[in-house]
Amino acid sequence: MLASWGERMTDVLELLDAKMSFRVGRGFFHGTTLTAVDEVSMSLKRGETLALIGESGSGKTTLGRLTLRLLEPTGGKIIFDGKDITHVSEGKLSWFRKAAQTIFQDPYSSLNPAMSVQNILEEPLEIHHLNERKVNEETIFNALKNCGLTPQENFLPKHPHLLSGGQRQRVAIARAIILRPKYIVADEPVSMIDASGRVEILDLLRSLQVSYGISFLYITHDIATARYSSDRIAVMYLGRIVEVAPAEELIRNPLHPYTVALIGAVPEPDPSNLQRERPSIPGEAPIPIELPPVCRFNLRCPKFMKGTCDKEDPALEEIAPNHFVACHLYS
Amino acid sequence: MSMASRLLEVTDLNVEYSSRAGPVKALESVSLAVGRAETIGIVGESGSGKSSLGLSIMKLLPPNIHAFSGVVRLEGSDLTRLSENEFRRTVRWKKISMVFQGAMNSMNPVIRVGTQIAEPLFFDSSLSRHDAERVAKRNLRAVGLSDEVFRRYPHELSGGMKQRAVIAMALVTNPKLVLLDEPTSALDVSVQAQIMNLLKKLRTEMGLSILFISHDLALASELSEKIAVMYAGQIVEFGTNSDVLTHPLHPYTQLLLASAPRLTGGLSPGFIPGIPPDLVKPPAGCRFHPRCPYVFERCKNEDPLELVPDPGHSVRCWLHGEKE
Repeated sequence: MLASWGERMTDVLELLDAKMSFRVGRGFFHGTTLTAVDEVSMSLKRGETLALIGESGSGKTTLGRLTLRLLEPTGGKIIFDGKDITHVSEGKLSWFRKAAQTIFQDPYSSLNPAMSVQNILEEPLEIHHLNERKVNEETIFNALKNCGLTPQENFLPKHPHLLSGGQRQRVAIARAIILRPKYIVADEPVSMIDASGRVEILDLLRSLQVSYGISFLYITHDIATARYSSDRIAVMYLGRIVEVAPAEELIRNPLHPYTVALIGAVPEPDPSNLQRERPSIPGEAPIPIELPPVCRFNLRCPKFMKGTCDKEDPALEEIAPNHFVACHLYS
Repeated sequence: MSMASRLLEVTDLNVEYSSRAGPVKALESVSLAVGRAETIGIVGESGSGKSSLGLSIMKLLPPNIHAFSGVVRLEGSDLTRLSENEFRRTVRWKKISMVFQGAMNSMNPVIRVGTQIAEPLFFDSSLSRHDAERVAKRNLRAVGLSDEVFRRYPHELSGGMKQRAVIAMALVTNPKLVLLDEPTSALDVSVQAQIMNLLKKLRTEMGLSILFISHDLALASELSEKIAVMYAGQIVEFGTNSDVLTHPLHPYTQLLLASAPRLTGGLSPGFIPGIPPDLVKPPAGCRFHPRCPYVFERCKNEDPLELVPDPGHSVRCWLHGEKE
């Protein structure tokens, strides 16, 4: 199935049945197992942006952390650039640490307040022993320019508190691209940026992708920005990918009842909103602790089929070209 | 709007905070009226003054106030003249309640949810403990929670349930006006939809007046009959929901509407170049002029007056000056 998502040779990243379970050590659920990511397979092509959307608790951030090997999976495989990095020790991962970077949600806490922009951008170069002074100066200058922080000499000595939210996020992006990575995980990179500046940051990520051929995993709860800035969209629910399709196809022709509900629940600026109720899904997603092997959405699903959805776990299948869905309605 | 139907009237409100760099002009000549059973949306980006407006009405501004002027009238009486003691005794949580941004995560973790909801009633001597509990439970049911939630602790509730509990808390004293400051910002979209539907229902059932503070025009449009758009401490546009959404007059409103990626229509949202001004030294003339695509000479020198090109639809922008 994976091969049909794209030629294996051009994949930067591949997950094969990746699973991440945690033992719950404290509280009411003491001694149980929480499975944040449950046997997820996916691949990311070179220069592609895959948006991972889902609500809080769906496992999207854990999946992102797995792909960065910030967590060691409890099952399955992670292949990066053709190499199996599933259980490689940290000491042997430095090439990967250089090739895979991340941009965090909150530019107010992801930058060290005691460091100047210059220090912040030098640090990754030093860690990877790229400390040729002359070369570094140029690298830093270029990174700032590419992220729209010009004139560069004005920004270099500044500390983060002197910068606006958008400028801070640009510094965080410059730090992420300075080692010329192949892969970047952007976890809600614009959710703390004011609405009027979001598109500007998304456009910046897109232009960096084009110029450097970077692959992005864009993790977000905001389907509208996912539509705007990604090639494909994957929808996660309770540790599983329930639907994947090219972005426009997913928005216009959602198949999984959860995707349909998510899209229907997004408000548009329309005066007639005042006169109607917003479509909503009843209830909230449960905590993914020792779930039975049935459809995870069955308790909230408007299309629930007794005897099927509460009996069998649907597999992710290709229903239309490049459109995969895990739902008994289509199998 | 006739005088009688006005519940809240804010007139020429000016608020400055003191800071090391100098006074921060958080609100500048803000005027606004809220009718009975009416919802007004206050929309703006961070730093636009929308929360300062809410806090001014609640008399909960932080201590670093450098200057404050203006009148806030509730049913005709000037709240700014009341002492803190009188205000607390007769207005705050009695006639006006507020749901703060992130309130659901500020509940006391060691006090049962029900006790927290009933708390304002305990201080009202006319109610026995038993009656207070009864009222609190009635409010829990009104927000779609079961009586059993009364005995729970906040950590036992999901995000959506906590937000419902926080709304029950604001409504328990049967206030006339509720200020909602980003009441759904920490919630997932499907839960957000549930809460917005709940607010619509409560508003009708209880005849509430609401000031709905949000950065999201689409969200505000669900609940608000009228919308005030704020930028850099001023209301730059005010009109009915449909006026503002379908015929926005201020370039800022137009750009704000165009800058959000949407699920329908074209794929080319824009963005507003530049950043909001430093409110210690706001630009001369119109505060939006450095970012405005239609800027002309007058904008750089003269602060726009509030112009009313269409009845009930006002704007602070010189583009509409010729109809003055």
